[in-house]
Amino acid sequence: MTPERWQQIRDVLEEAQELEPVQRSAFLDRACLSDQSLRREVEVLLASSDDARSTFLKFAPASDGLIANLDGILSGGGLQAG
Amino acid sequence: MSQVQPKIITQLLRDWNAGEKEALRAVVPLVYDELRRVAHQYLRKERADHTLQSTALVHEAYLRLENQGAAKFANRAHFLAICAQLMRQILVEYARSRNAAKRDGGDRVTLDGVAFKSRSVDMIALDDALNELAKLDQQQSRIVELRFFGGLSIEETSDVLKLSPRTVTRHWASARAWLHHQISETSGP
Repeated sequence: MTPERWQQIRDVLEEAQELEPVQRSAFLDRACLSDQSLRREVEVLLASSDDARSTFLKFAPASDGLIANLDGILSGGGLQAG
Repeated sequence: MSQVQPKIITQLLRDWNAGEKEALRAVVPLVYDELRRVAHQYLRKERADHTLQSTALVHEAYLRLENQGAAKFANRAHFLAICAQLMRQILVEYARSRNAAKRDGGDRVTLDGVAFKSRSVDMIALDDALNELAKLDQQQSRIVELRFFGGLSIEETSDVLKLSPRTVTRHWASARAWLHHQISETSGP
């Protein structure tokens, strides 16, 4: 895959990810009108979106404490406290 | 393992931001120690008998940071990005050493010993996939590094990369889908 192709796929994918599942098909009809391989690529990635979300959220190694610690390390304020 | 004093580090970082090289010398091992502590905390959950090769890692990370020079770490954002990179390195090294130890077993080892598809992330496969993603879009690879390995929030990530939170949210979601697909393909069913 080239960076240009990924950007093309990504643009459509990101739009579709923000839609309700029932709206996606009609959106893809419009967005991939002349490029069915684009549609197939986006559909494959959409299918892995939900798995991907739960995997990455649940098992992010640093999610339970790194940032709290770093905030203490880095400043009196910390990023979240602003 | 020693508990790092936040006040001491804050003071050191103030000096460091003022360009004091000695402060950098002092603070980097402390920060790395803190990162390692968090890594241990995480890794301990799955396996008590594994020893992270912490001394070698600290030494390597220290040299790497020092060689880049204090001037390049001009702000906190950059510093956080470095921490995320260190964390990635720690966890990938850990996974590699564990795989090497278990090579005769035949199974691909994941961080919690469970196959990727069911509930875990294969750190080595993720690291490889992230390198591939960087070839497609460097920025998206960094978003994942910051979010996943650094544990940064959407807002923190947007602050580090100078992107809008909306762009980070969208790129994070599409990168996740791509990585998940990529890893599933390469590691098989």
